[in-house]
Amino acid sequence: MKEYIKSLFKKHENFKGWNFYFDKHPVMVLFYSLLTIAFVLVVSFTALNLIMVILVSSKMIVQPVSNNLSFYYLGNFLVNASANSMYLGFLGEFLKPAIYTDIFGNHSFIMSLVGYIIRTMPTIFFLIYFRQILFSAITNNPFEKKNITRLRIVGLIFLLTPFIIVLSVSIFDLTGFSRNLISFSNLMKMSVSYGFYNFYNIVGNIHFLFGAFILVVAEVFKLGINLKEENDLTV
Amino acid sequence: MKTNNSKRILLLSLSFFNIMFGIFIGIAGLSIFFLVYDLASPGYYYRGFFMILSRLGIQLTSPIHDYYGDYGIFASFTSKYVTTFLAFFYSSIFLTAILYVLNQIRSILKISYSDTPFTMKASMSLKKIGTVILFVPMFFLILWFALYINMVSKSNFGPSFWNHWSWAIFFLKIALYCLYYAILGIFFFALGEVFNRGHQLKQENDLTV
Repeated sequence: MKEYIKSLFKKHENFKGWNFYFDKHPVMVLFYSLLTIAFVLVVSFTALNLIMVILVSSKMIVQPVSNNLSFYYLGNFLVNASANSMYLGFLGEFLKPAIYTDIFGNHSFIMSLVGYIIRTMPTIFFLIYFRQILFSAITNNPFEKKNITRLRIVGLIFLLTPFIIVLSVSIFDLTGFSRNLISFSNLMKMSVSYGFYNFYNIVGNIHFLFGAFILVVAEVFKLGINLKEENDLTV
Repeated sequence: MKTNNSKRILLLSLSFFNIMFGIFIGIAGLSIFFLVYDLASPGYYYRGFFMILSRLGIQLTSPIHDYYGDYGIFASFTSKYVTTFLAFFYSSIFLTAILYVLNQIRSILKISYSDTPFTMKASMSLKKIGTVILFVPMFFLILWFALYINMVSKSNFGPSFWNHWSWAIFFLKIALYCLYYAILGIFFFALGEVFNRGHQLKQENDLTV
């Protein structure tokens, strides 16, 4: 496990220092640094939200918002009227931790934690794999076999996260009252009330299109690898 | 493509994409029809256009409902015709951007269906998609800034505090909510760069052969 986590952040063996690559591809290096900042922001905010989930579910602090879904937003003033109208995709999930509440109003610590982790995992994995692809494109050659699997995972994340999120919200984050009424129609209503993760939303369906497109790009990468191999052989 | 399997996958994805593209164009046309209908009939409330869309389950990804209407931001200082024009203007910009992105993806899919997917055209289209996605937050930034000014200026709506913290929170919120678009834009830009590299490789290969 430790080795796997280390391998996710390992630099290439022939890494020549950032100055060398900045002269070659300045825009890409700038994007890579921006992505690193975004990654740190997302991870730190997720950790902060996890602490808030623990505090609220153990009733150490009182939950300020109580509606049907009992969402608790970190800093409720951050997410006001206009916030929900912006399409954030699955990358906005780390901003919305939810507290699981049963019929009697008791919070469940494990359920709310698991629900939040399931919803934020796609974001973190997407950022990790995209960082690796970008790193290989800057420092080495992008046409390597590892990048195909990375791109496939990213494509699958795009395709499957709406389903994962809607399911996890319906299982882990609903209040006890609504949870007793799990059915397909209830799930659809749930997904509609959950904002942009609904299957009627045409803009939300762009997610699926991006996923399909990235899977196609992964197939195209195979051709690139063949080209690279031919090129290496002739040289 | 060389293998039959990937050819099938590409063909399937292209047809799937074409169907989605058709649905999207249909809905965009419908929404424009409703807008024109609302404009033409003075008895109707122009906000009904958005209400009908939301009844259909279609949410435009712009906070237009908050800005237009009797209590909206532009109502306080502009006439109904100007606000209607602004609504039309903003929604058409958004729809055009989405259609543009979809069209570019379609053209790339067509190129990747051919034997030589690594072309400059594909690379440029990917970079164009990245740039359009990177510009989306600008659209929201203008609207949010307008909303923020409106909220601050009206004492009975929105935050009652007017201090440096509210500005800090405002910009933090913008930064967090623009992350999605920034990352997605960079993703497509990087893919464009990779296609460019593939094009260079192809040229080298052709020269050596």
